[in-house]
Amino acid sequence: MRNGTLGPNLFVRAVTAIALAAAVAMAFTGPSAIAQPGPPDQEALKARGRPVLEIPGVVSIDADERVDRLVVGVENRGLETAVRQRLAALGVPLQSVEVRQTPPIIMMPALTDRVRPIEGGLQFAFVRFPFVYVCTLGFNGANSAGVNGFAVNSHCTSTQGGVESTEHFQPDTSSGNKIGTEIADPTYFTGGGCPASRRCRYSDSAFSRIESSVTQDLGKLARTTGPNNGSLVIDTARPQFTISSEASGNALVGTTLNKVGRTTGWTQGQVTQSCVDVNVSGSDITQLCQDIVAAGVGGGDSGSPVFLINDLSSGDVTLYGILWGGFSDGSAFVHSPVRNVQMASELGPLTTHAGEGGSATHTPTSTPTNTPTPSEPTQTPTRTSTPTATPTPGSGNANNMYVWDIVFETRTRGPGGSMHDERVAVVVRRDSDADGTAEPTDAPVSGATVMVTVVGSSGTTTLSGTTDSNGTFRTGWMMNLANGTYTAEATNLTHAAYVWNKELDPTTNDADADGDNLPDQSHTIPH
Amino acid sequence: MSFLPRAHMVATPALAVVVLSIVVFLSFQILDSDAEARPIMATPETHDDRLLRVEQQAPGFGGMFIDRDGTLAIYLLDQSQLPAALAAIDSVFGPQTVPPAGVKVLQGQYTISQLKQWTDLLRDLLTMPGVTTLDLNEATNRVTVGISDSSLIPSVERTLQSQAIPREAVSIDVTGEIRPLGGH
Repeated sequence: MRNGTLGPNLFVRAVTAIALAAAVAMAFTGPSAIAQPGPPDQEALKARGRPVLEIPGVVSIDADERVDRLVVGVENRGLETAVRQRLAALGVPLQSVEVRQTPPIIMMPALTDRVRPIEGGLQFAFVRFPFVYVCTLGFNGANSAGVNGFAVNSHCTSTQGGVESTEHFQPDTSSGNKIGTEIADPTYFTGGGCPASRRCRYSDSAFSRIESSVTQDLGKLARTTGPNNGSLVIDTARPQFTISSEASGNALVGTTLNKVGRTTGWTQGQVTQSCVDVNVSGSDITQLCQDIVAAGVGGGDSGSPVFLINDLSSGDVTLYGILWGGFSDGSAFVHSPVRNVQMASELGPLTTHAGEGGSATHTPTSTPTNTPTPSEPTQTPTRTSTPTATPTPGSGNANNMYVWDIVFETRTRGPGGSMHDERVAVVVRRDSDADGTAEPTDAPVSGATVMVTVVGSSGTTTLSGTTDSNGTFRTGWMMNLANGTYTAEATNLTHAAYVWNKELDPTTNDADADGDNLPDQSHTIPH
Repeated sequence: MSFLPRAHMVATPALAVVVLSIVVFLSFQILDSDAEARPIMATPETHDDRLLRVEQQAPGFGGMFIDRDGTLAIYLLDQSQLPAALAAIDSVFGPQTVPPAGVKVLQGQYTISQLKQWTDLLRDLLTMPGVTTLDLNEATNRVTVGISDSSLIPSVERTLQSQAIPREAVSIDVTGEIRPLGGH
């Protein structure tokens, strides 16, 4: 032997010795073993009985050598008769069969697996010649032209800054895995607030148009089994976070934020610096006004959605940004605030479908990826104002809030503006001068949680979210709605400091058409 | 003019065309480079700008952050300005900014406008190799400069001195390099 391998002569001798030993063993034991009447051939029975798996609720079939039986697993005992009948019909002797109740076997996909519909937090791959790189999908959304897609890092395209139509694949570049094509990635600028000799942007973001054959779960992020546990396995019991709102700016230092990424999974930590100008190692790029979070991160986590958890049990979250970098020791990550991502000079406004959680589900069956260039969206507030009540002036309470206005906002897309999208804006004010009257001079209420139900020919959808600094909560766009009349009703309104005084509703802007003491507003398509 | 050699007379218009072409070409180049140098959009209001707006309504405001006990910690030079600061925070950042745990006042040493001025003066530090971050750090009431390793501290300190920025107003943190996190 030399260098741990068998020399040719020794190899031949070893093989010969093994063959001889085997022949001797066969001579002594083989014939008698073959001659013995053995147990039923369970493997053959298993093959014969395999069609039993066609019965819904049958979990498994196994030739279990420990009990010398063909064991069929079922989700519930009620299936036993059907199983036995089917096996008998297949010619399987029932005395060889045992039926056991077995928990259903659930696939446990990981962030690195192929997952459809696509959602934030999953691994994707792209080619930057000559290598294939992996990053993390940020979040799904639609751009201002109504094109559906998803946000990724600019540095997760073929060239950071500028559009090269980079193709994105999930989870890898195997055939059939293409999920999108880069369509937006602003170039880095110089001058202005950018340090001399550097190139700057306010976010490391790009937008990829989704493939028409790929489905996406809008407003959803993959949820793994827990924070800071290193798991990449998606929690089968609670597989998703739901985006209900977007942060309106940078995070306050001390805020606890989270991210889900394909390398280190779900990690959580506190914001340590807010609105920091950051030089990207090995480049002339400076990212302006970024936030830093003390939480674990690793290579491949680029693009991870960054979010605040509003409710752990329901998975309701506020989207804060898109991760792009980290300290070299993996102790902290850097992200671009979602507000920066949506600046006019960056990706522009995106509908991330914040507030479309709860009972609202979005499984787009078609995406307008192949439609001609959509016309510029027109946002036309439409209102059928039906004043039905006049608030009685009197002694009020500055802590009383109310729904000031419910407005349908409209945009059109497609050739000739043939497709109508609608969203609902709910404006919340409080009786800040305590005069018991709802009026336009009252202060807007930010941070109020609004629930609004939209009823139309397509069914009923309940949406919720939080008001911004103007006191306004906007739902995501409801895409390509059919003609008909739609009614939006504010069904719940809560706030940490203020209470909803329904006596102040409906205001002169809205109605209560169904008389249930909740303000509503109707809108008809076509207009 | 009439005594100029013929050859020169012929060459002059051609030369003028060439010179004019060069001038026009260069002027386009200058226009192009101007376009590249111009920021794509007007600088948007940043988090730091919002902090400045709070200070305008509450003189002596020096920053704020969520402390470990869940309270909103507010830096003030004059602690009697707390009611004004709370009102300003409410109007600029929204009423939800004050958490249920309440607020606490910390003695500030610098105002946001001072920190902003120094941060702007230090902007060129970002062109120094090894400098990783620059931050008006409202959570420490300081300016924070991040560097990849401690050997850069003297260089940063020389810059502070040249800009007449108090050394104690600036914290210099060794962050290591900050890298994009695409993976193979």
